[in-house]
This record gives sequence, structure tokens and C-alpha cells, in this order.
Amino acid sequence: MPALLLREARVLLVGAGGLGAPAALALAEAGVGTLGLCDFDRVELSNLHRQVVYRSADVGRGKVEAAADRLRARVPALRVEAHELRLGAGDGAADRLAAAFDLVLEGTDSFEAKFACNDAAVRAGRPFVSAGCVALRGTVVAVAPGGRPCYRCLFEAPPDAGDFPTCEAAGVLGAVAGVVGALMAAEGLRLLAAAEAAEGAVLHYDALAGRVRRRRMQGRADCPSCGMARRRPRTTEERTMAISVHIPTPLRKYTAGKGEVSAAGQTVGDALDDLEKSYPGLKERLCDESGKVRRFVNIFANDEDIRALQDLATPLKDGDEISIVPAIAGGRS
Amino acid sequence: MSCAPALSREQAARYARQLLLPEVGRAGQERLLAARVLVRAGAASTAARAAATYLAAAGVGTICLAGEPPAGAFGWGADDLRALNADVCVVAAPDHVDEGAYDAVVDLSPALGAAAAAAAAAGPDAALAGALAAVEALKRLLAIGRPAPAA
Repeated sequence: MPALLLREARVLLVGAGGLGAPAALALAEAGVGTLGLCDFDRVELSNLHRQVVYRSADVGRGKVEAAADRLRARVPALRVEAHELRLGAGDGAADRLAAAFDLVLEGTDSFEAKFACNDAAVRAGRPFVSAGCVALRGTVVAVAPGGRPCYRCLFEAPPDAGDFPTCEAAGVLGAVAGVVGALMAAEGLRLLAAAEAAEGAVLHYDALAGRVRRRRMQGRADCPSCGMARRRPRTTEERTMAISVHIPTPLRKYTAGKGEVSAAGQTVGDALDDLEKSYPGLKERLCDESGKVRRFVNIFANDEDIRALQDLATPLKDGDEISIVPAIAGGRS
Repeated sequence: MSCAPALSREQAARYARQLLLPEVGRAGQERLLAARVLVRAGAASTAARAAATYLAAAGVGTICLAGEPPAGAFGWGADDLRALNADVCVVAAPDHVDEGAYDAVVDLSPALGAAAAAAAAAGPDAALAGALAAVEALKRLLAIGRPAPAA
């Protein structure tokens, strides 16, 4: 993106923590003109191993103020706007902020904030990037300025408290948050530069594998936020086949620690039933009582979200790959 | 050099979030505090600074900086890393570096090619290259995971 345009850009960063800190530094150094920082927290000693915009002497200070001081010291030309508040659903603040910026980045540990920022960015027509990180992995969701598909297409609504691990409970490696925060900043600048031509994406970083995977994002026809409708049917094949299934870390307790397992079936649903025979308990984590995929789990068949295909009826063939991807918050606390 | 036999109360708070990880834990943290890592900066100073910052934040006991970054670009170095974490001992590398004397080496010098050229420019790509390099060094120190596939 031309430096001149970048200097005019106004970027809102919600959450000045493990993800927001590296993103803020990267955006400032890249030459973004104005950064809006939104956080309500104070710096704690346990933040310092990953929230690299702070130093030991900042412990006890407000994050927005401490981060603004450091960013201005490092990049004197940067304008920093401080917004010391907590964003939630329905308070209007998220809408006002989103409308006042060209790009919204969100790296909080709060699903409520993630959904509030997504909905506000979609309403304001602003490109939006949400990032989450816990333990040794993280996810980045980039939503194009048209707002379709959006974060709510991937994850319909906030999960119940305690359903998903947080950094506070499960821990996190600081440099992993650094990777995910940098990816968030990079995706944000990509969306800004591409403007109307921008496409959404979902990225997963797995530190143990040392790999970033990037996938296209698919809309949900009945998404309450963006109402995206797109389906691409595929033909079925009548054979029993070997499918490789990628199991995310939180579910590996069902697979004796294995990250890759194989299953047989002609559809995604068949493959999950087959997995349940070998790994009892797994399917219940993926599907609800009515047999539908839980709203906070994503299943990809060959890197395409099955909701954009035929859901559990999505046909599979020999050598196909299924990835199970749960939502991740984390990052701030 | 900093290599305390047990973690202090302050260290337990500072490293709380990574002590929770089964891949780190108390033993892993003590290993990090006793570790020596060489960071080759050279012209890729922005990425190298990001890498060194994450290593210092994680409590890598000794960070040895080789190849000073261009003066004034983005002031960083020993003082900034110490301000981040006083547990860390930051030293300048001798003229002739014996890489075998270190537990891990982070090399972001531009000799590595295109990836490093991107790492030399400031911005998200440099931040990403630095953080990825820090993760790989920490994996090596903790003996966890698989090395990242070559780009």
C-alpha cells in the first residue's frame, strides 16, 4: 500500500494485549497515520511475557496510556487516539468507533467484544480482523469491507462461559501471540490495500507444527449479521474411503493425543460417526443433540467450510482431508 | 548470568501464563532462564528486535546480540530488553562467534534471501518474521514440536 495512503489511514485496535501490542507496533512502524487504541485494563506483571509494548516500569498503569506513550516515542509521526472503555453488545460505542475508522482490528479475550466489533464493522462497512490465541495456537479471521462473509458466519454466537480455554486458564507462549498479532496486522493492511477487491480469509497458526494455514472463508446463508447466501453443491460418490482428519489440541484427549486420525465414510457425517466408534465422546463435542454441528466448531473438508458445501452431507472421497477447528478467544488477560 | 535455582515470587507472576503450559512448566522455565541464545541482527533489525524482545519476555537468561542494527532506526538493544525483563542478561557477541556455544541461534540476516529481505522492512512482515523466529528458538530450547517447514 502506498505510504501516502497509509499515512492517511485510521486504524482502530480493540484490545491492547498480547495480540494488540505486536499489531500496534507493526502498524506504527509500517507508517499507519492514526491508531485508535481501545482497552480498559491496567498493565500487570503477568502481561509482560507477551504484551511487548509494555516495560516493567509500566506495571499498574492504564494500558491505553502506557501503549500510547511507547508508540509515540518509537514512531513520533504517529497519531494515537486513546479510548479507555470496554466494548460490549448494544451500547452503541462499538458502532460509533467503527464508523470513525477505516479498519477495525480486534484482539481481545472476550467473545462478547469479538461479536460486538464484528457486527459494528459489518454495519459500518469497514474491513474487520479478529484474532484469538491460546497456548500454542491462534486464529485470525479477516472480514472484507463488504462484510461478507463475517465472523458470525464462522461462529454464530458467543459460546457459554467455560466452553473454551482462555489464556488465563490454559496459558500462552508470548511469541505465539506475537505471530498471531503480526498476522492480524498483516491481514488488516491487506484488506485496506485491496479495498473493494478484498476477500475474507481465516488463518490458523499451530506453533508445534510451525505452520500458518490460510483458508477461504465461507458465508452462512442465515447469518444474522451479514445474511450471506452462497452454496456450491458437489456430486456424490458411492464408495467407502480413507479420510484423514485433523484433530485440534483441545479434542486430542479423545484421540489418545493424536493430531491426525483416519476415518471412513462417504460424507462428513459418516466420517464423524466412524470416528465416534474409535474415539467415543468425540462426536458429542462436535455435534449437538439434534445432530447439527455445534455453532462454535468449524469443520473444513479440503479447506472449505462444510457449511458452504452440504454440511454433514458433504460428500468425501479417498484421500480427502477434514479439519476440525474450534473458536479461540484469548489474548488479553 | 542469571540462572536462579528456583523461581522467585516475582518470576512466578511474570511467567505465570507460560508456566501453565504443559510444554513449559517449572522445568521448562528454569531451562529458559539458563539458556543462551545468539540473535544475529544485521540489516534485518526490525525483525531481529521483535525476536529478541519475545526471547527476553519469555525469560531466556542470556541473549547475545551479533551485528548491531543501523543506529537510530528504531532504537533498541540491551537497555530496552533489560527494561522489559531484568532477569535477562544481554551481551554483545564477540567478533568471531562460535555458534556451538549457544543453545539456539536466531539468524535474520539478509543473507537468507527473500524472507529476510521482507524482514528488513518495518511493519507486519518484519514483526511476523521475528515472532516466528522466536517461536522456533523457544521450541528448540524446550525441545517441543517440529521445526517449521522451510519457506
